[in-house]
Amino acid sequence: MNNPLQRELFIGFRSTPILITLIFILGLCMALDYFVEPNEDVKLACSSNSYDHNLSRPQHSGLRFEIERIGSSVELKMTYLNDHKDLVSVSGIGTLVEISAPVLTYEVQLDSAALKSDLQQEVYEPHMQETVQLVKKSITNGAAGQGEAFYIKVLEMDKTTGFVTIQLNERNALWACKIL
Amino acid sequence: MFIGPVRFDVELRQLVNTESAQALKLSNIEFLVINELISSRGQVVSTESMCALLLPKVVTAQDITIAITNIKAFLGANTASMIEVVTNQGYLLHVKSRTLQMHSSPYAAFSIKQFSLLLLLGVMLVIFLATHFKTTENIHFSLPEQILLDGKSSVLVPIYSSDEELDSYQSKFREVAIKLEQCETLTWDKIYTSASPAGDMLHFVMQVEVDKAIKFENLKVLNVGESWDFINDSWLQEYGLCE
Repeated sequence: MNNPLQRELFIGFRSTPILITLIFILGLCMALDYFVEPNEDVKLACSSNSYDHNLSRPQHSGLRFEIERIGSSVELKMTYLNDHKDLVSVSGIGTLVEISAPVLTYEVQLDSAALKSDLQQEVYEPHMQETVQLVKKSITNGAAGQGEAFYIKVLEMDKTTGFVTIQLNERNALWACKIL
Repeated sequence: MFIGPVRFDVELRQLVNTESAQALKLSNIEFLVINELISSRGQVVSTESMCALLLPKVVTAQDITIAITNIKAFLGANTASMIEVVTNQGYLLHVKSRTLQMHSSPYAAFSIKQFSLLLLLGVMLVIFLATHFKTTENIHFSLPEQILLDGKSSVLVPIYSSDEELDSYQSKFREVAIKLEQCETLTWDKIYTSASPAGDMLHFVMQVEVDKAIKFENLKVLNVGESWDFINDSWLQEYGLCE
């Protein structure tokens, strides 16, 4: 048969170097993807003033929320402040289960938690108590003895100015944070 | 002596195409030119040397060019390329045909197997790039509701986590927007706000762009009851939502 597609493989077009180059580029991409771990570690620091509607006197209280991601490990710490002193802090260490789109959402599973209190009496305000309960629920309420995952959605982020606005699905909390 | 399929007959002083059986009777100039080219095959023959061969007859470079053109016209497109015009030097008759095989389409030079492999690699590259290189540099979330504060260049952005929250708090956030509109000065470009599902906690995130940097503040309102009447002008001023 006089079919040029079958008969003349290389005439007029040196395709072999192109194919070898493409295979090399693909291999390089896959190797880089396999061996090079992109550094996506991040630390967010958020602080807030707070106003307690039940208290009529002037207040100097606030909250501090910190999130640190190292690899797939996530550490969260919520601290209640009064007169710039730490009153109660609830911290938890968990695992980043998944990152999903289109709204950048981090699914976090808490594995362990700790409570630190400087209160003289172990009587927590209702909102502190609620935070503690939420953390407990996140650790123990999940299926097969695992915790119940919660979600952190990134509403707005600008790495050049170093700020991010996030939403936590628990209690529909909003935080604007500094990217450290 | 052959130039491709064309035989040079010295005795009859003609060129004979062995494929088409056509012949060209050569003029004196054409005969001497082709004879000189064949005898110096693979080498450049200068125009001047060819002119000198024809002495005492006066022959110009123009005459040589016309003779070459006639010979090439007889040789045909494929074989004519064996005679090369070397600029400012002369003419060269190649030993072998330099003809490149031309294809009717670019795909004819490419095997189906190679084309398929190239296509497959291209698709794999696209899939690889699309799945492994996601950019999350800056995110500007398109929000379902932004309440533009009348008379201000600011917006209040309520964030709801469910339709139930939307039904419960939409009217209340609109009342907050009306109170913010009554502020004399509002320093924030954007105020995000949300309520906890139980309604006992309000969140405010305020932000403003100053000199290409973002200034922001958070405010948490705890133990909120059914009524949000505490949110008034003085409260908004005290907690920095307006001045």
